[in-house]
Amino acid sequence: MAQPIEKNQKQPQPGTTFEKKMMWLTIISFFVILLTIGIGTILRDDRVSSQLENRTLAQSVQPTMQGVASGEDMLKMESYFGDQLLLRGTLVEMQARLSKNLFQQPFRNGIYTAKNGYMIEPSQAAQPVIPSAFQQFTKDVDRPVYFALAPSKTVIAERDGIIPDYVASNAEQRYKTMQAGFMKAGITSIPLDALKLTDYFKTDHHWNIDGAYQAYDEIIRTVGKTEPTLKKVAMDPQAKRSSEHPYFGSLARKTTLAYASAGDKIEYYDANQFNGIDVCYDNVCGQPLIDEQFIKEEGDYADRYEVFMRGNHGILSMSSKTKGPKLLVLKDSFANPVLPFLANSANLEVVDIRYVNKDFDASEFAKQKNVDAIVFLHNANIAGLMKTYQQKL
Amino acid sequence: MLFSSTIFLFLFLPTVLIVYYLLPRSFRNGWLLVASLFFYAFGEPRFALLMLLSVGINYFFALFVDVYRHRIGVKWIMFSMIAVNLGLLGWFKYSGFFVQSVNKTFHADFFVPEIVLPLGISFYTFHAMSYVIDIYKEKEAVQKNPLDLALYIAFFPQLVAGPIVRYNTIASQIESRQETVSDFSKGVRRFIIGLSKKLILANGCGQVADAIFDMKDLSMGLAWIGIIAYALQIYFDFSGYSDMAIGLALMFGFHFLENFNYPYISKSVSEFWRRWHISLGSWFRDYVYIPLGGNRVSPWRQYRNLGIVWMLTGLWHGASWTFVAWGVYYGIWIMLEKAFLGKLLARVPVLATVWTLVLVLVGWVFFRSETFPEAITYIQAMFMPDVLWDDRASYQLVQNGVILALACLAATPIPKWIGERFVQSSGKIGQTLQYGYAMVLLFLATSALVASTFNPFIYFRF
Repeated sequence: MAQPIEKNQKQPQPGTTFEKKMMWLTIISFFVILLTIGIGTILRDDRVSSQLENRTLAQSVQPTMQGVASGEDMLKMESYFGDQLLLRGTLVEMQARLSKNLFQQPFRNGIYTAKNGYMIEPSQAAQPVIPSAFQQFTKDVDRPVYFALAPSKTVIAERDGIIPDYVASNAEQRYKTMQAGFMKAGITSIPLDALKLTDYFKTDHHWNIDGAYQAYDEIIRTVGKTEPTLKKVAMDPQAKRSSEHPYFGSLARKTTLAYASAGDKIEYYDANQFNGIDVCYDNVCGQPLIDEQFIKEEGDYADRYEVFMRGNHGILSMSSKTKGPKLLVLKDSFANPVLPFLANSANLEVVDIRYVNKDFDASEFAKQKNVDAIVFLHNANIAGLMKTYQQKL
Repeated sequence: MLFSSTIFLFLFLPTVLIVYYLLPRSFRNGWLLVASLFFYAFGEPRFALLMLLSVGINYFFALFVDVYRHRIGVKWIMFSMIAVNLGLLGWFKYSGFFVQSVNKTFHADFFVPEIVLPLGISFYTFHAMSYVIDIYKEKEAVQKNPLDLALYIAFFPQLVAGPIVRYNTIASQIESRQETVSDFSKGVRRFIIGLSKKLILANGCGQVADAIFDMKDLSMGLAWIGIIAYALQIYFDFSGYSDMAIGLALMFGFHFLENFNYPYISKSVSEFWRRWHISLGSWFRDYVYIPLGGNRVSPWRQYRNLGIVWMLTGLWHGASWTFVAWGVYYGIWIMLEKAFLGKLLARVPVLATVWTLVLVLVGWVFFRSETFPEAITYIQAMFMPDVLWDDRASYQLVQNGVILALACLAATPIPKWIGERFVQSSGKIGQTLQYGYAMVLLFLATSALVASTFNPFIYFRF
């Protein structure tokens, strides 16, 4: 990087009117930039959360003698000022563009953007161990237990050879280990291996509506063998809707729009395809199954995936007056677009293990709700959940 | 507070500058002292008292030295001054290391104190000592105003990470200085260049170095990429901080001496140390090496003096035997150059540059490693590897090759040389670009600063 020109070195006519003007311009520009951002940050209303970072932002600090003396309040203030900084999002995007265009970095925050626009998060980790609690759970509930384990996008990208050779990633190997582990625990596997990359969003880690429908189809086919009343309900193709705004998902948020060349189109079926289904969560029934406010929301990084039941809930029930069986679905966010289809065919008790109380007992819950069968519905990237399942099954 | 933080850049700095230039001249030093104490106390208020204690003690030591300079007892005053300063530094920086070393050597079980290292203590202790020594050597008049002395020691641009500004360099500037538009605009550009070095190049290279130093079973290629990245990180980090300090000082009318001069183009280790952290090298030369006899003693005593200086240089950088080894390593090469190697290297300048660079890179392995076995394993991977190249090396090259190449180029005088020629040959356009590129860099550095706090969550409920 160039050092500034020193006094004793030759310069073009130092001290000329033009150079003096440039000096003043430098000083004024410096102050204008610093003061605009500094004062702008102080004057504007504090933001509670960031769409880009999908998190709450640090809020202003009421200093206390103890906090100031320990230095804690100062650190909080620094964090608050950084979070609320004017143009924060723009500057983050700018840095990402620098990384992509000047530094030619194909990866950003661990995410690779393939030539076809698909964003993939390669991952190399130890082989997963399936907790003994799964085997115990199948015995305790004394009902058929199924596992629909969707391959993650990384698994499919590995199969398709999209990830560069020099990047270590063993997602497929871990996926197979996990499938074998669940089968060994006495759980029937619902095969979802036929899913393709096009069944997933380019900029998000979830599957799209076609992937979700395919999963629904497989669940009906497999569970239907022991539950004959479980019937597939076909959707009206004319009722398929899509967002006007592009959808930039979780992977785009991590890389910013600099890397996400084009947004996804998020699709869903009109609520009239799910008439008669009562959705209850947070002790309130009649909750929307499809909430289009997330589709219409402004902002590049609006979480449009929450169109399905407004996102994740600890415990949720979907009763459809159908003659189908009653299923307990233990799931993560991958299940959200599948549940409306499934609710057309069965009554559902749905548990997202990440958001229930710490003393929740899944086998007790299954018995209490008198379900006919249990379906685990997850993507392969659930190694982090195993400890929770060990405690709550 | 760090220069590379949003609160410094967008609140502290503009506020301090605006108030400074609005105040009458007689209040400006006072304001700078208040601002410097706030800067230091932000985040670690209790240690500000320790720094003020250091200022107070050395203020009185200097007064005593000045009053009793012609009496025999002055040597005892100087001895006490050195003992107190080194005692403070030793307690906070080295006591844990010392007890651990004793425990390990003698299989003892003495209590190891867990003492938090006060920010910048190595720098302000050396500032304070240089002040009293300069008074003792009659290089400067004693400072009667304790606030002005406090400003010299606590002045925020050089407080946390140097450079080590000698009292005689800025004593007259504290009393009287002329702030000019030319200095201010140069200061702005220098500060922005330093900020960019730190946030774009040092942090970019640092990510590579950190990733590789955390890995095991390195291939030769990966080990070399890692150590080159670390060499660039430490250079741009430290020289960037020095640039920011020099630039900030210029904005207030102070002129600091240069601290780095393209060290990686050196043709010998001795030259490297004349170009790297110049203020530290010259401090040890003037306050340790020369008082021990310097070059005016017998060759064996010269080598002994060099050994002492380089062991202390290593220890100054950190309380660990790997730092001591790093210092001794340089001491040995400098002794060899003094004995015969220097003359040989002078005959083959290109080879000498490559040779020096390799020696410096090996030295950085000791500096970066936490233990000796870790350092030896790393050096084995560099020179006697099991595998020459692997996929991880390819990944680092594809992902970070451009930033490493740009950083390598920026570590040479070539960009400066091209810039100067361009400005000289292209008149007003050149001058416009010369000033304009700083603003572009400011935006890029700020974006890198903000991006470093970017913290996206995939799963989070508001």
